[in-house]
Amino acid sequence: MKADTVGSITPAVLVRLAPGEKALAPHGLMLYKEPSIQLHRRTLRSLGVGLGELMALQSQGGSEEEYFLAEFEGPGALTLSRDKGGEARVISIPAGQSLQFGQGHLIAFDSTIRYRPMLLARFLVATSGAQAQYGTLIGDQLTGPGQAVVQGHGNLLQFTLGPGEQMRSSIPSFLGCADTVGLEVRSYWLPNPTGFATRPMTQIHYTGPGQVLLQSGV
Amino acid sequence: MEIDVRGAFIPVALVKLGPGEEIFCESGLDVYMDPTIQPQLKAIQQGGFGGAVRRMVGGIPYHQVTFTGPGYVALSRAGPGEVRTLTLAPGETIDVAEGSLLCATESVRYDIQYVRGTGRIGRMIGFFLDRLSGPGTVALHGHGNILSFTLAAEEVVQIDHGALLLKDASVQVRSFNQPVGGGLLGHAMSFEALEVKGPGRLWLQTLDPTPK
Repeated sequence: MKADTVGSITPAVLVRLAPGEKALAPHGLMLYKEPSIQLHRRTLRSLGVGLGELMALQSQGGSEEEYFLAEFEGPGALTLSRDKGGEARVISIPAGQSLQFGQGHLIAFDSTIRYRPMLLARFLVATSGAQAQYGTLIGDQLTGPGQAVVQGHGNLLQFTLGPGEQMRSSIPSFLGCADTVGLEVRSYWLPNPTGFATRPMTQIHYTGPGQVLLQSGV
Repeated sequence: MEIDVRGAFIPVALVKLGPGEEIFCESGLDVYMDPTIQPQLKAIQQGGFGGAVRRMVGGIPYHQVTFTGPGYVALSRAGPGEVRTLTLAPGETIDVAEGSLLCATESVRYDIQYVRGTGRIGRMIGFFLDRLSGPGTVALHGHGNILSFTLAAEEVVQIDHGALLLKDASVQVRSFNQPVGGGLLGHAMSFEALEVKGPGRLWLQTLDPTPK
């Protein structure tokens, strides 16, 4: 798969496929395709994701996970768009390395990439009234080799953390990270010297080594 | 008449009109204007009674707004996208997706073009395009980014319905059901797409403006 982003307001991704080459994408993103491109249906089961695993994710709140993906087979060209503003980026994933992205950002990936939806974190969120409830962070894990295209809201911000290096972000700013990055969600009450009207804050704490991708829009 | 496109994310077309110069557009697109500009409501005459019936069926307005100079008027579709202007030669005809025309000079002939749907239960029964014939100048708003192509004779591309922005009248368009894989399930999951055949210009937009 050769992928290029086109446009800056609502970027589209131009994908060129050689004969027999295949790319996968969530259903409903196609803008146009050449008639020589064949459109197939792939189930998550055919990609190695068990039904039980998917149902467990659904029960955790992974409502955006679809059981079917669209598979495009070359030769030819097609374009895909998520119908939203924000930077799209083509990312090469070396063999054996894994990146995990938040839900709703994936545009396309090579059929050589192993895809798996997964629970990235489960955490307690402090809410007003000194109560707490469970929240989940569900994402898509991609394991190389191959190329993937993702889109964030606004601009993409890329960081490379050294071993043991730490940073944190808000939950909506999370776009993705390497699976070597330790990811922990912490929720706490902001200190207020007056002792009144404090408010909760929930953040993701990252610990290197590895790449972290954030988005500037939420 | 001069058209100056201002802004990058949600652009406006700033139209400067000389004395007596006139443009037409849909109502509700004006952002600001010179006090000297004369706005007026105008019934769409083209197509006669048959055209009026087709507009009624297609949910297309019966009226347009005209702005007569001298002065300036700024128009916007109030959404992220690109604005482009086109100068049409006498007799040159283009078809534009509904909700994309910003304005046209009064010399441009306006009509509508019906594209038949696939007629399947639960699917759309067809849609209308704005047909514009020169001579004159036209300003268009493409939702998202605009991708421009020139199709050779008999060259075919298959596009999503919401991606179509503009085509030359010489470009043929046909609705078809695109199955997703084989078998009954593939047909059940199929979606309506358009097959577009050259020769002529084809502009696509990267943001689908139709509600999903």
